[in-house]
Amino acid sequence: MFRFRKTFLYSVLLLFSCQLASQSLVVNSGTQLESVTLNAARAIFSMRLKQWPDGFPITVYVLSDTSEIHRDFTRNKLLMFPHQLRRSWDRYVYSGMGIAPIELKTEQEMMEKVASTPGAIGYLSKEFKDDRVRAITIQ
Amino acid sequence: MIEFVRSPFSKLLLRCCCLLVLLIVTRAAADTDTVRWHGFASQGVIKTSDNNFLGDSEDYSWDFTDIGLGVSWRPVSKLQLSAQVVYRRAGETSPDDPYIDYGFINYSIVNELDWGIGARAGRIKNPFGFYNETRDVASTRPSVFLPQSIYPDTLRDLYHSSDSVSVYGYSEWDKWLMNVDLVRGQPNLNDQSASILIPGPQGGDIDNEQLWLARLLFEYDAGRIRIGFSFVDFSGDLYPEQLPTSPSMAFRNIYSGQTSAQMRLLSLEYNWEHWQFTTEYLRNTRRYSDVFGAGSRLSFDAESYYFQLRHQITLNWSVLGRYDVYYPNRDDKNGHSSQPSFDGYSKDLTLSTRYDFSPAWMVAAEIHQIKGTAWLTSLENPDPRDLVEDWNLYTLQVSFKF
Repeated sequence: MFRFRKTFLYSVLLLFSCQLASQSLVVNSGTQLESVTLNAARAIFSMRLKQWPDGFPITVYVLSDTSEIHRDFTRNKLLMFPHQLRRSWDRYVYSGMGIAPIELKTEQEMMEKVASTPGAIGYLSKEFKDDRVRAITIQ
Repeated sequence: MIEFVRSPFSKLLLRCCCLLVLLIVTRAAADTDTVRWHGFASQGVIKTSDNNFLGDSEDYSWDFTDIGLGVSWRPVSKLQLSAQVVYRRAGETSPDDPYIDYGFINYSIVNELDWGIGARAGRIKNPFGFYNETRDVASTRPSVFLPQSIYPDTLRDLYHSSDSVSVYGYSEWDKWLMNVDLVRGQPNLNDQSASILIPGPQGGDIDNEQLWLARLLFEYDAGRIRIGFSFVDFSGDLYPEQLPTSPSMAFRNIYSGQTSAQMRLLSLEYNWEHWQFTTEYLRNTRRYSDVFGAGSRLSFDAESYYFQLRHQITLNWSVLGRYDVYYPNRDDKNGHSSQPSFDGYSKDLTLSTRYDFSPAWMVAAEIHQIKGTAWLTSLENPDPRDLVEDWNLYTLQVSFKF
């Protein structure tokens, strides 16, 4: 019984950590891309790259700096520290050279915004079923 | 080009800035998608054991306030108009009125993944070193005060912004990103800057002031390593007020002439997840022609550097240690020709801590143990006999941003 409980606990932990590591990069389905390079993903989220290859403006959505989903996405997918992104945004905003991403409160809101905004990009940690949002890979 | 940037053009630029702000503000009401507002406010209190820094700090100075409100409008992804108004109180070293801190039009000509180029015109924040462009926003500074040897708060108004035209670009190869900024224009001087630039106690005017600026910034692995080179060339004509000559005069009289400053700054930074190491080294050569008498040529070579280590203890709480050194004349590091001799150097050991209550609110406190008075200004310490060599500075600051 004890062993069973231990195994059960490990499986739950394993499941939980898989879920954490499985944030996916998502775009509005109008964007005709299957994947982006790591450099491109970093350039988009740090707000240096302002448009898609076809010239359409990119709208970047993020969750707050303190959100676990944001922190895990930044670390595991962009392979950056969250404070690096924050510094880049602050430099753009307060020097007037650029803008920061639009910050949303919940994943649900992220889902809806990416679905309804042409050229939008964001991330989700949950499975989703919406034709207007597409997960793309980072190479 | 030089003629182009002189006075009539810069006056036009200033007017354009003002027009720009009006344009954006009226537009903002109608279009909330492409208009973004930002702002910040901070209030600090300074206490020094001796000497004055930003106000009457021997007796607790509250004269340390920054308030800013900015707006940017991006009607299409390649074009952005940005402006910011700042109100700043900094003892005797800054005027007490709100002013247009920046206001420019920015056109991104090419914005590809691996390279880009753009141009801007108007009043811009000078790209100099790691911190100058956002130096008024407390939360972007690693400590309450930036290292005074390189970012002196008493000289901020001299170097922080200019009415300029600028081109910039970036290029990416593998994990390296190179950023280039070139600026040509006129620095924003005020009455205080004139009395700081003109050697000796008399005020006066500065005319024909011009600025060249270039910065190369290399970033490896999205900013894990950052290496910067900044070059500044400033020149202007000095017209000091003539004082009646008297045999009892304690200082040399000075005359109309030219001054220039060439700055070379090397910046290095390494980022770990919870640690950050930063160092910068600056050489500043100031030249005076005819100022100390017809035909005279004098030059001083200043040296500044600091080492800084920052540790993020938790998500909200960080500590920082820094050693910061400044020699206004590196050929005279012991200050033999300074009056008093310890005005020939400043060595500042800083311990700082910061707590972020939320993304918007933070509080920071720090202690400086300082030897020498080289980066203090005579505007706030008029009598050199009152200066003290070994002094401490304590400060506490609350700040807000959105």
